[in-house]
Amino acid sequence: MSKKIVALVSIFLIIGGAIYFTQISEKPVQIADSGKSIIDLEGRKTVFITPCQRTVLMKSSDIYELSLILGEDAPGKIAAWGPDLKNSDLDAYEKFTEKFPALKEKPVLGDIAKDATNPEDVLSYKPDLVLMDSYMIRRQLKIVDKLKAANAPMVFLNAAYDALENPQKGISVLGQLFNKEERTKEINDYIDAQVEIVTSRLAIIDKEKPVVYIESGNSGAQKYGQTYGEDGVHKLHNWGAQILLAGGKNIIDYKLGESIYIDPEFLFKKDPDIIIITGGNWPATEGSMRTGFYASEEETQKLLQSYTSRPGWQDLKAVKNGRFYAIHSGCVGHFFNFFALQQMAKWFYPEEFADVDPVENLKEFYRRFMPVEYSGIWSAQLNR
Amino acid sequence: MESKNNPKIVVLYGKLVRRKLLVIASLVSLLITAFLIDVFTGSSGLTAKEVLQAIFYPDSVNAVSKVIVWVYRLPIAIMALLVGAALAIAGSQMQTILNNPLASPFTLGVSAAAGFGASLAIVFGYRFLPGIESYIVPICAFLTAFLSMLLIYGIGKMKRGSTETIILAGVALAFLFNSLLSLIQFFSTSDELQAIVFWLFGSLMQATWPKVGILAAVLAVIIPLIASNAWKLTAMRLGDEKAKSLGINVEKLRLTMLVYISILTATAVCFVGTVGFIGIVAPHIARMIVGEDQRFFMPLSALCGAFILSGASILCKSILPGVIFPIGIITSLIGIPFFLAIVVGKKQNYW
Repeated sequence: MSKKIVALVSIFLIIGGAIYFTQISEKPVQIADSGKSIIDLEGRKTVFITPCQRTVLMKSSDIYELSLILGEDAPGKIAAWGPDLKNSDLDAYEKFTEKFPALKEKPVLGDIAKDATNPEDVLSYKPDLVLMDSYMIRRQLKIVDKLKAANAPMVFLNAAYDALENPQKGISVLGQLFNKEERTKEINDYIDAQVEIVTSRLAIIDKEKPVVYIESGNSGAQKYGQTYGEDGVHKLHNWGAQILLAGGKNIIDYKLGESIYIDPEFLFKKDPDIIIITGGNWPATEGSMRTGFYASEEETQKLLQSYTSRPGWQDLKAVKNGRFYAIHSGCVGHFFNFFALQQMAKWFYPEEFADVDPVENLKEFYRRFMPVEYSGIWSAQLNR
Repeated sequence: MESKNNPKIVVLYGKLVRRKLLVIASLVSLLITAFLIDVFTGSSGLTAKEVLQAIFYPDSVNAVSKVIVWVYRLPIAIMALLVGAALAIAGSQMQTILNNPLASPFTLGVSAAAGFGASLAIVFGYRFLPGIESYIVPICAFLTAFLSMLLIYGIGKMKRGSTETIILAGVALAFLFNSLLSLIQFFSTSDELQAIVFWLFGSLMQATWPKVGILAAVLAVIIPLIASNAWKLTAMRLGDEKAKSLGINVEKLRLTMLVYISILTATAVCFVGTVGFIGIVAPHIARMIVGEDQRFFMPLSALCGAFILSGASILCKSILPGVIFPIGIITSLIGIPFFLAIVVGKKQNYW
């Protein structure tokens, strides 16, 4: 009996020891002997030779940020990118490839969202920068460890984790990587000022918060889409957290669901002050809410109208009062989320934000900083 | 006929039949109660009086109450009954004709096939058949589910309706369709993937009056067809040889029943997604209570199935008010422990 215990204890000790030693033997990432030491949003410290020349974008939607910082030079710095932009943000794919046709020729990686990226493939492009996102760690994607083991020059961003600060933090990390610190400071000052408009005014508003229902427009009006809860600490930023940040009260307050299907009855019972449908370009679902670079006013309006013909919706307060809106779903996780925050705060408190024009501020941002032009519809209100 | 001359046996048999009828009657009343609770439960907080008013005098209540009762609660509650009954009948007949306690339309790959069809429609439907989105998913799910059963039927027919062949073909097809489903999931975008996953969870939320009507019509046609074979089916459980010696064309009956089961399952599954285990559990519960006599076994299976799904429908609304829990998950979570308890608690073998 005691032999068995000894054997068991020693097995545990051996396994534990092995785990311990492999943990501490992991070297700090050293891409270059001397260079710029950069701390990413995961707090990982890496030494880079800047400016980086061969970037792998694990998610191609980072092209928004890259082109924001590098302007016309962005395509030249990209070695390979993921398929997500073309798959789930078709408007942006068209917008950016129209401006930079070279992007169309870039090698496409396996889809990171499905952990289908081959780490060998990534390394074969000899990247001096691999742009990652913290969600890849959270989802325990196998490629993260594989790239770690290969000492790949990874940088983790996570704009979606804190809508007020993280987009700017990410931009400044990218600024350091590409030696564009001055430009990124200018950009961040603009974004900070835009966010400040929202936070400073909300801080002094002493009114009852409007009750808000937000629904993903990707199912179309025929079928109720998902709504968004929050995890209580805003660790994961989504549209549920966005409602809170813009000064509203979500009709659901469950901490369990980042995204859940609501019981329509519950919606009628709560009868929210405001309803928001998120939009995008989802060709897979006919009648899905359409917003983005190539959306038109009439189209967005027509689709918003189609939602009001759901059984019973004509009697909802929000529909009756015309406080029924669409907003672009892709704002979360990008620098232009300041626009979504301003827009929602203005919908929630029209008087207090009467002098703020979120769309105009977004347009100005594009004029000043972006290599592509503003176009399309990013938010809309139901016409009565 | 010796038994005719033996009054004791006649009396005993009569007692037995009355006892079984009593069981059925009490389950019917349980079912009605469950249905009523289902209709009266919901997160909008309508009172029972308001619900009744909305049902019987729809024009006397406000528009929202009318919508809640007529668009959401009634179709969903009725759908729960019909789907439960349809799946339970399909399962009970599957177990009977294959003489196997594990057989059900689900172990034989029908749900996998339906899931594959639905995912196919979710991912590719809009490209080839735009404009009929809300129909294309159930249609595709129905077609693939039905097709998979036809395949099993074809393979079974080649082997003259042997049970082993049918079961093995079904299990093989289940694996095949599961990998095809995974393949589609792998190639889908994240939004499509989400739609597929939620379809597979199973949900009554898509219930509408036309769908209720279609399923009711299918049940109304198939049930009499199955019932007309009740005695033959009962005899089949004695084993193929004995059934044949009683003059039953076992192979033909088996294949005919397979077609009825396919239609029933495919119709139920295509509207609500995967609510699998009812097809196995409800028949077993029924068999434990009334035994093999099809005249009681089939209706009781249907009642058990309807009752379980009705109960699950109540639970999935009330666990977290305001949130719709996928019914497939709830059915398994409440049904499996209940089922295991019965299996363990049962003293003698009933199969």
